[in-house]
Amino acid sequence: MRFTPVLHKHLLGRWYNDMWKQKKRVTVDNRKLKQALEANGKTVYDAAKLFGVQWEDREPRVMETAVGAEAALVEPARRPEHHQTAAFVYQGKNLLLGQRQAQALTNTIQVGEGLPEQVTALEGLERIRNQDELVTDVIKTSLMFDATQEKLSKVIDVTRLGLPQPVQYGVPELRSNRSLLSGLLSLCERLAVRLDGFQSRLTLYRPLLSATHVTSDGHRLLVSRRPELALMADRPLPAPAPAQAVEASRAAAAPQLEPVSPFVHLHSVHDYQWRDVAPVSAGCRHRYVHTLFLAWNGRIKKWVDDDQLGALSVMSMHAAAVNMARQQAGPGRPAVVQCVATDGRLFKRSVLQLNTQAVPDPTSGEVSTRHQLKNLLWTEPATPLYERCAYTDGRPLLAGYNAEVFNRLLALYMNGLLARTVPDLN
Amino acid sequence: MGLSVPVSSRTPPDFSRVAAMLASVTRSLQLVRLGQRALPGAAQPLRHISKDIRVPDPGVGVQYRYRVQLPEKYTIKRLPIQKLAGRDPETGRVVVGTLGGGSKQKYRWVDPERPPLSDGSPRRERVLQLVYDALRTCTVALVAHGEHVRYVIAHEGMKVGDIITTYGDIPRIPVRPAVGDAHPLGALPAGTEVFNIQKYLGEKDRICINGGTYCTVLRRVGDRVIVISPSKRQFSLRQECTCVVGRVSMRFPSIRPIGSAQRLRWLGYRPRSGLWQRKTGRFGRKLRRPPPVREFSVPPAPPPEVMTLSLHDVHVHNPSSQSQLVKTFRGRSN
Repeated sequence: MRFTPVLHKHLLGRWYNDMWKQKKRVTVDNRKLKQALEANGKTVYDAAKLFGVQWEDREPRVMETAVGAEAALVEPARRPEHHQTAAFVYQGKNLLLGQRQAQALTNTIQVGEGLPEQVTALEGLERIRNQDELVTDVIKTSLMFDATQEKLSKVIDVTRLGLPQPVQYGVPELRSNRSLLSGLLSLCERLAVRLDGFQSRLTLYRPLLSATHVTSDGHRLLVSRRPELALMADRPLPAPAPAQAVEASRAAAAPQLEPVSPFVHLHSVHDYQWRDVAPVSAGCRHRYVHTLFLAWNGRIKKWVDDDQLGALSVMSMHAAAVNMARQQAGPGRPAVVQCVATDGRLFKRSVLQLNTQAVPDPTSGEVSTRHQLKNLLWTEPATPLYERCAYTDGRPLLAGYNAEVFNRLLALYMNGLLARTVPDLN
Repeated sequence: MGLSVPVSSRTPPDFSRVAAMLASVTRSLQLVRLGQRALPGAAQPLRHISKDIRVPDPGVGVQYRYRVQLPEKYTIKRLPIQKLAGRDPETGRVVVGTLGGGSKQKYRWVDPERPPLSDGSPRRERVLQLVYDALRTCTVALVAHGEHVRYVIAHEGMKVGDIITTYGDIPRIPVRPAVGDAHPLGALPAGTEVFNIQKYLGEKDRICINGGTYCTVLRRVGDRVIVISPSKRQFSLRQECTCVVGRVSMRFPSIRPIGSAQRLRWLGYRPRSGLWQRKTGRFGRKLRRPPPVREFSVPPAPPPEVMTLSLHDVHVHNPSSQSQLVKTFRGRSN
């Protein structure tokens, strides 16, 4: 009969297949062969390398690239922001060692607790008419009486683990932060009008701040940050510390992180924009940074604590002060910048006086700037403006309002505005 | 298994594509008797011969719970894992049936090496954080030296702010070691409790990294050091191999006591059958003489390559010439 595939399958095919399952696995063990050959004085070459054979894959693998990843496939040399020298870039993320690392990076020492006397003396000095009413109105309007209601980012309620988490609606944090800050600033401007200093201030929303530093051993540091708000002034702030105190700072030591470098865990990248960017150009009337307002989302950023806020304030103030110092023509007076870090409820004030633009080396750390002038920092712990501002049982409720916080903000605002705090520009 | 046909009365089938395999097949056919199967040639047992499924045996050092894709450059970012649920990573076959599910966990890439600085001087690192690692039984520490941050296995009693030092030299007189410091084995006196011992020079294999464990340095023999492990086994290692002084920290909070069946599910264990089975002689504690000292000198050579030849397909290294491929035989395929 004809030997067909069907007959083959019935008779010998199954045998073939079952035998093949045992026989198809072949152990290729050339180790002893190679040893035996080399023992006899023969040189063994790899065939593929000898003839330059390139094995090709049966099917070429297609790499799926994510959207926006095409730029990464461009050769580094052809990318517009690529530099040969790597730079350490700080853009506002948490520093591993917190405020101590920020101080070590910027060669700063903290002066005591609290703000300088120059600012604390202004607290409560001037008040707006119906101040508390107006401030509570601003808080309620920005947090509760806002028609923009969106689904907020999910926050796990730990008291309801395992149960369905309630969906939370409310004013988006970005919007409420911004409206609260601009509302509080507009109240401060009422005071400025009364004190005849309204035209000396300018408010900027999310300006870009960028400062470049080169250490003595050639490392690059780039601090780039967008504060939520920048209050600009047409005259610089007076220096809180006199010249003797500045000179005495040579003896003080910036925080020692040894054996850790101040640049620890900072991103070292080759793609960056190496430029100094001030909020406004040098020829503008309001070219002096008065106060920076840094906002963060306190609802979801639980790992941002007081220490990290201090770090953020120090780095932002330092970038702004360095830009101001580089813009002014002569050596002149030390640049002074104020800062308020807030999540809408907590407010943390800081003041920085820039006496030197030097930054330490990554390798030697504090040792490289030991006998130089230090920058001076005054800061205080974050204080809540209110305890709770939300709808409770269907009614808007603002509980635990702290009137002192706005007094302190006013003091910061007035610094440089009142006649006796205006520095002698001549 | 098929009809039994005397080999001598048959001529081999005229298939040109199996001509190369003819000699091997004919030899094997001569071994086949009616009703019997030939012994499988490979090491792995066949699950069912007609299905040709080879189940891998549980091996030492193979991870059946998860697999992690490590990036090219070391990072302290927590990496996602791919759960295997008891499957062998190579073949994908289920090896352990009681693994699976559980809460999501992230992998922390712990740097096993403790080298000194490149010029040979001691490396001093500060402990920044003590981190809980769900995939280990020990606590993991975030340490930093200069700009480099990495995870290491924490020793018992480690605190944030401690300085741990790594030495690379072997002095003539053994040092008085401090807990947490890393030394070559040859620098330590007998009786020192150590962990994270390097097995082979230049390799990343380590002994004794599980929570709460430690090895003890017993004695020195020439340029080798004998250590005894928690299982009472003795290992002979080169004196240049580094180790860390102290005991491995336990994970806090500990897994034990489990407390409920549901908790085991959260930990990634599936239910067992619960059937009572009579235990035979292989169960239970055995009092045996410990095996002889095992010497670690060079890493074992990789196992020889096992090629799986295919009956129906021919590998062509130039895929453009598809005509050279033989058509697949329309029968049972491999």
